[in-house]
Amino acid sequence: MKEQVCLTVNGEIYQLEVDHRRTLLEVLRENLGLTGTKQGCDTGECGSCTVIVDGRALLSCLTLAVSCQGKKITTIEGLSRAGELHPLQKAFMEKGAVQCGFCTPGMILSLKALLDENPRPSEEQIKEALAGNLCRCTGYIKILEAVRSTIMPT
Amino acid sequence: MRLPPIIYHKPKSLSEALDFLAWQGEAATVMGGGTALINSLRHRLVKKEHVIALDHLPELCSLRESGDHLEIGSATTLRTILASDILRQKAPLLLQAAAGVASSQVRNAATLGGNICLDTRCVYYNRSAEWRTVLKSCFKLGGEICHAVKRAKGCQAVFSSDLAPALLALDATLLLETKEQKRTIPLADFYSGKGENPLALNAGEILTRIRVPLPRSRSSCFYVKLANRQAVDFPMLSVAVHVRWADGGEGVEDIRIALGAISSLPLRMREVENLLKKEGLSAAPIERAADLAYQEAKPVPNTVLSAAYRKKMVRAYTQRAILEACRGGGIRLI
Repeated sequence: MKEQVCLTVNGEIYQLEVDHRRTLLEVLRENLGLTGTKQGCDTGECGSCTVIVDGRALLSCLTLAVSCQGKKITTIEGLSRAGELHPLQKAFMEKGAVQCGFCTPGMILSLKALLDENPRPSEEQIKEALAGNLCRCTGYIKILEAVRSTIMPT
Repeated sequence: MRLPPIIYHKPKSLSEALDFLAWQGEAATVMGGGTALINSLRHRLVKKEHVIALDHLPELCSLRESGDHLEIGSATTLRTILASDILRQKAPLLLQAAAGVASSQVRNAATLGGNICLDTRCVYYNRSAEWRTVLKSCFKLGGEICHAVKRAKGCQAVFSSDLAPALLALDATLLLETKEQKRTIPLADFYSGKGENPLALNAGEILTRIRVPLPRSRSSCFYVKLANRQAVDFPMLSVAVHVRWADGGEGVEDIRIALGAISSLPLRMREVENLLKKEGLSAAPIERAADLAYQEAKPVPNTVLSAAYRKKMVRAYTQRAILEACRGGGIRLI
């Protein structure tokens, strides 16, 4: 079944016809051309499709697009402002936390959701937030260094 | 992979959801966070045309003390459970079980009700439709064979909820509602023991509330799960222990031990509990209790870790869970 829906993504309102069977991941990538969000496993086990919906990190491959009406969606494209990268994005680049880059949008969004709620997470809390984001390249060390470098000391 | 054609419904109330479910019958399913259902639809394991969302209904999101028990709405997310001060103080076993479920992203959407109603799993069943074309349909798919246990007469799929063994150890009850009536049953009665059809849910019924008795005296608990990784994976064995200490600190008033992912339903280990109630919670009886649990456990080869290994781990994990509960096992969030 298709329906006219209104999706708010990165502060912009999109009006589009969406089939109920389409996941948020499919709609973001294929209807809206926002291909920063990646399709990895498509079964909710890798985290590369992570987006933020109403402040919470969610797996867009396990979310129906039609269920996101009236919610505020943020993808990786929504992090930079006026061409200026978000501190998390800068830190990932500076610390060498990006190799192939496929897990990176999901990693950054999981971290943004964490830091927005808890600006000074412990090491354990960071790892808990990232436990659902898999990386086959980096071994995670640089990713953790990158996020640590963005946390303001008390 | 694309989902099959579905129609998504967002009812304005529980009553509307129940009406719709009664009307559509077999063609409809309810959905909590969707973290299990979407995959089942994707792999063509669940064939339902109508999906009735429940996660937005405030009636199903209560979390409060009510008389002598805690009442939790079935659409309460695992995230909410982990952040709840009431549950941290009065039912920390639930937080321990919830903390290990999947990932933070999944826990942000997954509901308590959805976890309780999780389908049983098997390495031969939980595969894409394409993968499954190379094998004959198993019992769970309506066929006449079990690929995990060749001589089995029925489905051996493994019970995979983390929260249910914890709720079983806490003596939880469930409120199930249809358009016409409500019934309250102990959690143990909700599971059929059949791998094919693990839930004793009647037509048109929705799980609406979970009730957990408030602790009557000092109690301690521990939940542990066996999986290859510390996140993402379903349990391949789990042990939930809840101990109620006698007033005045003299011994054990009650102990409950529930095992998950070792059978097609969560198992109360009553013989093991009786041994401990009779002989006390010192090292030797705990070891004998763990041996007894080992003897009673009958895992089958339908998970990534072998049945033999999981059986050995029943002894180790049961012993560990009891010991940790004795040490006053509080919250151990990662």
